[in-house]
Amino acid sequence: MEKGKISALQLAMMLYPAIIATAILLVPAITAHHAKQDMWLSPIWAAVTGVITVFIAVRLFNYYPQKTAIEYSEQIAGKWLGKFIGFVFLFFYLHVSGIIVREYGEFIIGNFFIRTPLLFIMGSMILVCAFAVRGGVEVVARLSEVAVPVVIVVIALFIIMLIPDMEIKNMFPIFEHGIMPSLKGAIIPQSWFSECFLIAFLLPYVANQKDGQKYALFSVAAICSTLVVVNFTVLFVLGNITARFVYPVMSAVRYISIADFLEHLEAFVMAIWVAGAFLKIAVFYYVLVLSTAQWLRLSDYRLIVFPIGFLILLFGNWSAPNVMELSHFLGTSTPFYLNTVQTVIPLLLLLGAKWRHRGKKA
Amino acid sequence: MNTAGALLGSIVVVVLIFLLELPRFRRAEKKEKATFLVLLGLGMALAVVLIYFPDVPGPTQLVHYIFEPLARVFKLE
Repeated sequence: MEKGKISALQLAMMLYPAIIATAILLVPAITAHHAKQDMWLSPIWAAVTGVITVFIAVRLFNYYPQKTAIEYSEQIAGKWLGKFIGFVFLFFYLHVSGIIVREYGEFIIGNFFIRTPLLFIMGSMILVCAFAVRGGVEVVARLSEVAVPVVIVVIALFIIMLIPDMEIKNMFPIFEHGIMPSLKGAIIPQSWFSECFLIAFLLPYVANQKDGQKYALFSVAAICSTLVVVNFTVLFVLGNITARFVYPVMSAVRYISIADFLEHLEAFVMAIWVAGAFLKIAVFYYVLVLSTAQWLRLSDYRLIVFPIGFLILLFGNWSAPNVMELSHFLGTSTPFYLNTVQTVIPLLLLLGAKWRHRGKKA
Repeated sequence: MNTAGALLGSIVVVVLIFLLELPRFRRAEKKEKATFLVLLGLGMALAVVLIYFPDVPGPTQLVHYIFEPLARVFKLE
């Protein structure tokens, strides 16, 4: 079905934007709401979920080499239950892709293209992603390889340019109410980290598979440090009003003013976010299309790319009536949704696989 | 958004997808053909439903209904 091969480094580079792109969009505000000045600590707690999820995915992959989550869930849970679990994954990735596209669209409309119809913004992004997905896993991987370094450099530049506006005292008092606020603030970001389960669908196409786990964990570490640095920046620049913004990073970048000349750099924020969101949507879209083809045992997935893109567009439109509802949903039930499908179900699958392989050497 | 325009738009999208994939569609096996048509049909049906009943409860409401009690336990409101 998929004959392309990617390297372990490319896997890490696909994982990075797949989590970062929206994690620095809405999440810092939600984290700040719960953790206040301890918000910089939350991503570190959150990374624990990422590490656990990577371990689960890699263990499952070791039990069933060259198989994706859709294929081995059938072998572990039996035909009907396995198909049902596969359907849950499919529906989940369709729904989540829709939500991501919607987040992207709302961000663009809320900040830049105020009079452009939402459907047009979402549709054009899906169209571009569809062409990437039709090219296969190699194309998506190479696009990440090109764009991720640029995204990292631009984020780093923003942080350096914001240094004059930073107030270190905003982070004090540390642990004013103990460790609990930072843990509570970690609930939302940790669910983003559960998206590391995407590697369960990509590992079979990695050429140097022994390095898969190492690079996936490296990616988790990179994501965690990026989030910590971004949260520090937002906290130092905006202080205790961070929670009142919908897109705190965006608002922080508006503070950049160097020599009264270099100002209004938020257009660059949009540029890197479009790049990041493109990669994120492309990775999710690819996983969804590939899983659908595997679930139905098709021999080629290219034909169903566009029909699924149309469905993603509709789900994006359907997922929430407006951005406030979307933010509320992301701040309340989403973490449990993401964790249930991407951490708990794989964990149950792993237990099932262990039980099936009992007595045998793995 | 006006209803007729949206309906026309979705029909155009579906027809365009079909025409764009026609060469590949001809070569495809029976199963792929069926999947392609069913997915397009599902898309068109969902589009019609969403155009006439924009507020029909969706997967988000279902998920919210299932997991909201947990969110309340953790006081995430």
